[in-house]
Amino acid sequence: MFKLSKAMKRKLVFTLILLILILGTVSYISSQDISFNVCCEKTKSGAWCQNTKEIDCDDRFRKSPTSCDATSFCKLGCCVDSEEGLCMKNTPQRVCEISSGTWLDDESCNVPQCGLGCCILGDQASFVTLTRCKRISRIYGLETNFKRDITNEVDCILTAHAADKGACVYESDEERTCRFSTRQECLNSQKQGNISGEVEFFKDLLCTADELATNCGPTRETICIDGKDEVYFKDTCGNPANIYDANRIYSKDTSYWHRVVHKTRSCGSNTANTNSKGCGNCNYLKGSICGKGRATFGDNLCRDLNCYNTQNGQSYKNGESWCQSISEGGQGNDAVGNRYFRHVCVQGEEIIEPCADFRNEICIEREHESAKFTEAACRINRWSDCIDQFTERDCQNTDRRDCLWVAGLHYDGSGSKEDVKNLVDSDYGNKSRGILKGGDICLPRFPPGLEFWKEGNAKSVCGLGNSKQMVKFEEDILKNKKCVDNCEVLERPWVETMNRACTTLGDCGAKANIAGQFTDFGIVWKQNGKRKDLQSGLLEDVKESAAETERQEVIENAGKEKGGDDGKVFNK
Amino acid sequence: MGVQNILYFKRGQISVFIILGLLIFVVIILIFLNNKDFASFVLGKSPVDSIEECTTKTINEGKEILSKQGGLITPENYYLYQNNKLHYICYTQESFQNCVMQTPFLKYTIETELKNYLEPRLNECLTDIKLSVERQGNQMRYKKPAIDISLEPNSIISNIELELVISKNDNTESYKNIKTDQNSRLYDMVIVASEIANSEAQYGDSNTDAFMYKDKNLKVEKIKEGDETKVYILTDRKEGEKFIFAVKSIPIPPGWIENV
Repeated sequence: MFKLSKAMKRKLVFTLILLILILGTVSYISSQDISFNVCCEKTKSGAWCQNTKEIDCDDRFRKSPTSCDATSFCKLGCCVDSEEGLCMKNTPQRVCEISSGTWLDDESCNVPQCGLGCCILGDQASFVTLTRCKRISRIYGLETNFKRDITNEVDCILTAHAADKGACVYESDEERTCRFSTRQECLNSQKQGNISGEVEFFKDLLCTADELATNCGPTRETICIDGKDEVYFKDTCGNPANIYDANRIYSKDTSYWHRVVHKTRSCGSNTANTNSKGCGNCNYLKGSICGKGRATFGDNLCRDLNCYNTQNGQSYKNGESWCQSISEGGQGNDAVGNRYFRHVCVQGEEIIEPCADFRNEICIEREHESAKFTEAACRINRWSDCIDQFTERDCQNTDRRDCLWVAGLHYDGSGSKEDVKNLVDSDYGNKSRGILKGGDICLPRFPPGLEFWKEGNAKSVCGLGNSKQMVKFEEDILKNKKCVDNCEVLERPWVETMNRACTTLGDCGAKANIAGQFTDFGIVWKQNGKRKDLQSGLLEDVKESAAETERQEVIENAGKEKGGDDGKVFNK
Repeated sequence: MGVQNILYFKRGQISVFIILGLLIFVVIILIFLNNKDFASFVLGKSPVDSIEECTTKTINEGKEILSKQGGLITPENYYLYQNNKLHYICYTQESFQNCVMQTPFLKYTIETELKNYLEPRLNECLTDIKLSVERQGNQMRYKKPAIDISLEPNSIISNIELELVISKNDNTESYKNIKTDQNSRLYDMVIVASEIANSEAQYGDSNTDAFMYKDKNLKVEKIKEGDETKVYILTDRKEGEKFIFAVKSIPIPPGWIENV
């Protein structure tokens, strides 16, 4: 054992006391933070079951100094509506109870009551719960036909389409009449007493078939049917017959009024037949649907659903989606305020869906070569770990992140971002720290937007772009200082290079916004701790680019005013 | 016929036209002034017709308000969007957390809201109608109305139990309840809104294209606001009826970065 001197002992005791004091402070701060996190059954703003600060809780309701998951009243589960057959996920027990629902302890609703199956409703189908199926069947006056063994929506729809359809023949007012329906609907109508007397079902026959000898005859009129794309001939009883084909009216082709002719064997089966006066074989997926319009016979034709001359000047098919942004971006060059949008063409209308603001989301698109069909989606901007990638492979791994590998700079990878972000105010001795000259650096492809005008993450994120550079000078005998090492960092091009890195990290540095307005308060240049003015001529290229954006905007806005547009600026 | 006679006849005709014109003008003014007594006198509207009209009008008013506010007449926890207070159907204020369902049974909530909106207004209407009937020398009795409102596919049905008795001279008419049925796509939109809320609660987002493909008469718009609130606008393509609500699920603060 070694003995400690008195001075050493005193130092040790002092250190221990200091350590205890620090720990005490930390634990005090921590406990303070925890006391702010309570579960409010209801907040003052009226929200149910939120983890928040105690001060936000509505005093008339319960609260607990734990997470809501750990409370009985705010435990999340599945709330079952046994009348409508809906299962609502992530519902607090209390909220479900006051809504008179049945609460089950499974927030994802993986319970038998919420098991989905195929509900057959005539020639339509819905992939729902059994209770919901009963409810919908009751609404449409059908017998419940629920197939639990069908486990996906596509199979469910296909099953319904494959249902037998044909002529449902019966006596009404001493006349033999007919209704075109599914076998199930036909037989149900007898059971439910909608039709009195004998009912016969003839699969694949139309009500106009001569052999049925009903009072339903052919006409030259057409109809659109809810849930169907095509234009159909109509018989004298109001039933749909086959798909409208001007060359197959009764006088030209009697056989067309006898049996059901499948869509694929009807006129123009490979095209949309948009605005065709003679063929009503519309196809939603190809861009047409039954709608009002003058045809050779009847008042319906295949209405065009495609979008023409959209905001970017191009035309798109029904269902296609594509990306647009306010200004050009995606190469680390997004201007402050730039945002991504997903545009969708639905039934001839261009619907604009903004991706999350602050570039929290970006828009991605791809074209299906075979079908020449573009699809786009908003997805999370995965920028946050770019700076931590030190190899090109990791940086450019597009499965994991959205980053750019930039030459000319490198990040010293000091490991702790905490160290780096505070380095300007810290003394790290005579070592260069942060983003340094030479090598390669991994930076966000889509710089995130920041709330730089208020307390938030802006300072921390932009702080990652700090750089402390040591420059070596030598004095000659006349005491003249001469730079001998790392001298480039004293020059203008270095500041410009650093600014490019800074602006790529986020809304940091000297940068222009989408309106082309330039600010340089996001950059500070210090030498020997003294702030240096950004000389005139410095960052001229950034300013020029900003001025160019502003000029373009003026021109575009002038054009928009003339055209009566809403004044929004979009990337052309 | 002499010239004088013709002039006299023409002057008479002009007078008749002026009087008729004035009468029509007064009638129109009175109708526009919403004078219930006069309207029922001129149009021969029965008390039952008046009650039905009052009910339909009030339900429509209530529907207009709550359709723009996520299903509530006076929302508490809302997002202000174009001066409308949009109720959060599913909400969280914690970053990166899935939303917590706030209104699991939107259909029943709306039915209750409409009932609460109708009740006091219907009572006012009944008082006015009773006064009007009594002014005509007839009698009208009813008990405190019990209102039931139900959202159904393509309609809003109201059933008012009030045991109404109207006595005219020796005749007595009795109505146990009065039923109204008005066209509305609110039911279908509310079911879609519930499905969207479910998807938001589970995944933090929803696929609007799928809903529009399933129901080709429905337009679904999703607008992401700056604080990560999503505003959903459901529109019926045929009638232009709308239902607007807000959701906040898995919000990500701007510039969020791990360990910073």
